[in-house]
Amino acid sequence: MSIMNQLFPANHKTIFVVDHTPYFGLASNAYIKMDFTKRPSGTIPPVPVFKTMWTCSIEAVVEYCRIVWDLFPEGKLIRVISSDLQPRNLNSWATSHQNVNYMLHHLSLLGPPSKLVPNSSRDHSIIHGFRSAAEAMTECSAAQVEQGSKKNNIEVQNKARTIILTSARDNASIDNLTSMFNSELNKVNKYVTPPNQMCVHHCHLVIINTYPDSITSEVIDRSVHTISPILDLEVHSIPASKIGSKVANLLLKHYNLGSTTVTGIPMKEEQNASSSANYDVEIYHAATAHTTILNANESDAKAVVAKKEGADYKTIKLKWCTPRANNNLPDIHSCTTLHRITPVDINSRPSACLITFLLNGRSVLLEMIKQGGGKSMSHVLKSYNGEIFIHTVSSGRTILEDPPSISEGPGGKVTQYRVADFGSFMKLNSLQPGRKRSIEDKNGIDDAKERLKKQSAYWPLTTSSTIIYNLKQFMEPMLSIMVKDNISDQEVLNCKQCIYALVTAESKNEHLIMPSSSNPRKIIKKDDQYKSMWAELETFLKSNLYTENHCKVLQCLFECRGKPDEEKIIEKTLMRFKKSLVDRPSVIRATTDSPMSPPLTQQTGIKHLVPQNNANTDPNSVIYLKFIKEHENYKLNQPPRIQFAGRLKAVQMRNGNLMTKLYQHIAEESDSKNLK
Amino acid sequence: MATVIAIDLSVSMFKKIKIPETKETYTLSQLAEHGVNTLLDYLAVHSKLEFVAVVTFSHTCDILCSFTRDYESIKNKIMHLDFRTDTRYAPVIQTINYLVHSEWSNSVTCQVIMITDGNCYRGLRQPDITPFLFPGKLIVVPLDEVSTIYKNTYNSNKLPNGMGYITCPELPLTPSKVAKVFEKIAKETYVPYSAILRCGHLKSDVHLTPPPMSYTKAADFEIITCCISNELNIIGFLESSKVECPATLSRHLVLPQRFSDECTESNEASSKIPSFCVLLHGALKVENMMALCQLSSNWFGLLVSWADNKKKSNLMLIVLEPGTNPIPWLGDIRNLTLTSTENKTENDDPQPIKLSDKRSYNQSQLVWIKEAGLQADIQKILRQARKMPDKIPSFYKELNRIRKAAIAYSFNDLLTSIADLLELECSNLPGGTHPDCALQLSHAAIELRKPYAMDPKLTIVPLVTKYPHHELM
Repeated sequence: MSIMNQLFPANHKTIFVVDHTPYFGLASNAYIKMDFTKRPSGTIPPVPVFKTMWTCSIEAVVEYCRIVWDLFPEGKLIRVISSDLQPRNLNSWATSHQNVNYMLHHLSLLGPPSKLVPNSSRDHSIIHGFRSAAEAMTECSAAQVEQGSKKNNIEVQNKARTIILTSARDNASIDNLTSMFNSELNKVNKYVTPPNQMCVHHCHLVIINTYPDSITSEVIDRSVHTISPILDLEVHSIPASKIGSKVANLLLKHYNLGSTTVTGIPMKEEQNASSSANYDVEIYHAATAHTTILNANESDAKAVVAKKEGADYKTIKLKWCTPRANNNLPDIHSCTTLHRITPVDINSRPSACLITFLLNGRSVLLEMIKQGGGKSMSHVLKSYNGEIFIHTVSSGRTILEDPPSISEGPGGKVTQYRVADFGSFMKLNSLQPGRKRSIEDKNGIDDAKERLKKQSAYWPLTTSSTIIYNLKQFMEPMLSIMVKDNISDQEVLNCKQCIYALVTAESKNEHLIMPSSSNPRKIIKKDDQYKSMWAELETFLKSNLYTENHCKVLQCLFECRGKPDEEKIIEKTLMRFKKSLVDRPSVIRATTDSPMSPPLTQQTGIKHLVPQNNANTDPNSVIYLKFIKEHENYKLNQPPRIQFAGRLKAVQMRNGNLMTKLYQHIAEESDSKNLK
Repeated sequence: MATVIAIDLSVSMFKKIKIPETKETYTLSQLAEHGVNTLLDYLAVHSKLEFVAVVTFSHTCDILCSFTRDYESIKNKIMHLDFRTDTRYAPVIQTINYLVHSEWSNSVTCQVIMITDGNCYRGLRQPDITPFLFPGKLIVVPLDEVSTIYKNTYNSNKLPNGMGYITCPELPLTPSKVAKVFEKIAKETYVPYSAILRCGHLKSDVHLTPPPMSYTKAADFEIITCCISNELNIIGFLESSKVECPATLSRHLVLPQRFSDECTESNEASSKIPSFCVLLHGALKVENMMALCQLSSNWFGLLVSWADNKKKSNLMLIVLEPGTNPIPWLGDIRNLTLTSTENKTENDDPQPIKLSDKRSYNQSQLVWIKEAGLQADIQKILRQARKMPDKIPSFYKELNRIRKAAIAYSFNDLLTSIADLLELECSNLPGGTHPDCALQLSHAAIELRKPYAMDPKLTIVPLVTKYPHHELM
């Protein structure tokens, strides 16, 4: 099949129109024996119970839905319409309506067909449902609307399938139904209103004619043939008791499914727990899970394909392979495809056992027995998060055989990689499924990339190229705090304390790195150690200026080192923040207390209080530390209010008092006038 | 990647041609051998990991040499080829399909280079020529003295069904012109794929081997074609145990590239310059984690440490199915968020994704299409009925479950039938049975016969009796 033919499959939208007329309320002659209890011989066995044709039909429809929705939780939509005096939509294309429980609930409300009243004038008919079905086909599904708005090169084709379950007298009445359906389809196609409706480009109509098992039908089967440019017809005539298996067969074709029979499942007998017998369980899944097997050696393929008993499709028999340990799974590399599965006989005990086994977290390996008797593992059944999947396992050789080792390539001989640190980096950046479905357009991927950028802004690859990452006892928690998006005032304080601790250590002339006895030659002089440490720390802090608070830490480093901000890096960064705030005027109110508040209040205020003494204090002196302490106390006790504008501009007089010149602009004006 | 070389050994390939300048004579098959050697020499230098197999064909097709990296042995084997009969293409395709499939299973990209006579223009467009069953391209090199008449008839070097293309050497044929065309094929086909592996500010220049291919798939509404961009952007990390086994399209070795000024530096020096790629590999291996990376806007892959044997481990890129949901149990990749897994308690571990609906096999849905299904369900309640009063809650639970299903399927007769069975059961109870059992059985039977038993909102509750030893539902 060419790739273009796979576009716009009819199975995107399927509509069942089910006959709910009194005729369908008749017993189908499909009966179930109810003889369970031991009874004295000679007594009459309990009467068997009969299903109505409606029960047979609707059971089959629900089963069709069950399998489709199990295998394709999204994108394969089914609607059911019942028709008697009037059509009734049991569900819509909405996702919330696309599940079996919803359907069962609405079927309960619908109830059985009304009783047959001879010579009634009331017009019960399947035909009422045709208009509804045609209208349903024109209604766009969410996916169709989305695609339509995307403006792709290819125009969206609205293709659908309608399956009618009814009872017709003869072939002529089938023709009649078809032409009525065709005309309804043409009618609704004329009156579609975009964007929520779309004309039907093609419809595959399947009529399943059913009748009580006791009679024979004149209607004969017809294979797919064209009725009109937009309508293909297919007819199946089947007694009511067999609708179930018929519909299942159609399902395999409609969704291109494959059947696998897991053979030889050992299971304890219900009555006799000590012995075990082997059972087979059949499952359905997308047919592509079999591609590998079928493409392989023809004779091997023949050995596993078998006709399914009592049906006209084929199943592939794969042998259950008792798992020895739970971890003898093939590794991630050999799983090539992945498809959801569902058991065919959901109620049977063998199915239930296999399902429970899988849902409990065990996995099952499936072996393909080759023609010569050899075995090869071809599939794995495994459940994830309450859903069961079939994996295709590639059994072939790998072309990556005998690869060069990474240690032989560039960078391979380096031994001092910070592997453990990168390990914590990875753990710090683990991906977790979002608890809530995030809002539309919110893209976690870009957020994640952004965060990784921040976390890796300064990240030396090897231990020999860094000193600060080797001094965790001094540097933490600063190293982990600074890479955060936002840091609190308390965290700023913690970072500052790290810096002060380093200053103290330096003033006490402590070793930063203990000289190792193994390699005494490698010891760097203490002074050099501090020098390179301060330099690297500065680089690190400069790489992580994301907020004002980040800047404060760098500011603190500058102050402690008695170093001016030569490149005006802080000023520039703050300007940038300011600018970005101005660029987003609507955000200002939400993010800052008042747009008028001066951003650098504290720093500018403090500048005049502390560093003035730097001139005659050695940065390593005790006095200097005292200043720092005072500065810190001052900061702690400082009430969180905006500094007076006057104090901000103040100049320190020789006597230590702060002074601000008032009406400075007037003075300037007069100055400039004087100049002129 | 793997390569199959198919050499035509039909009689026409042993036609002798004379080179005017040198007066030397060659058979076409000697030219073919020369071409293949050129290709192998190129691979030996530029693509050492390439596996090559050789098949020869005429009326039938034989495997001369299975996939190997020992190019010298191939050269030896193609030295003494003898002619056979006429050319047929269909068996070649079949044999190559079989060869590739039995060796690599599926999902391995395989180039097929076919050297044949001029008949290929027509022969490969016959209806019995089916496309390959594996991903890959067919490159046909026709060796013919004169420009074939078919070339004009078909006017295109493209083969049908996207199978591949025909590329012929310049005429008149000389060994060097044949070599040239093979060199061209080699250069176009075995291009090392360079990319940048990036994690935030950390990055590394890498080669991907085998080169990743673009991927085309038909979804319900569009044909999706994806190409890997030359930037592999890490978006986060996952524990290997959480990822388990997603479907993989292909796998590629991620090899760090030599640093740009490689001419001046020796191999030894280059191996001593730290590379992020090596660091990443080490950490992934130690922590047993995987890195999720973005290959293009809607395509993702996993980076893992992989070892062919215990000693030689390497960084590998696993290419996932295109789309944002390649690992169904993790949910949409766009919804993944970066969180720290450190200092987190076990029960804090968020459950993957909550399924909007449970699958049918994960809930108690009743299907009675087969007689046995219904009978098993009825037997189940009868078993519980006999064990009352102990089983009162489960008996009523099961009874209501069957009732609800019967109502949905409008299977009204079933309820009266079950009522009959319960009464029969009641009358057959052995002597020592608890009196409550009989009371509950007849109560349930009466309830089932009442007209409102078919009301889906109703639940049949146990009869309150003077025997207080059981907890009511």
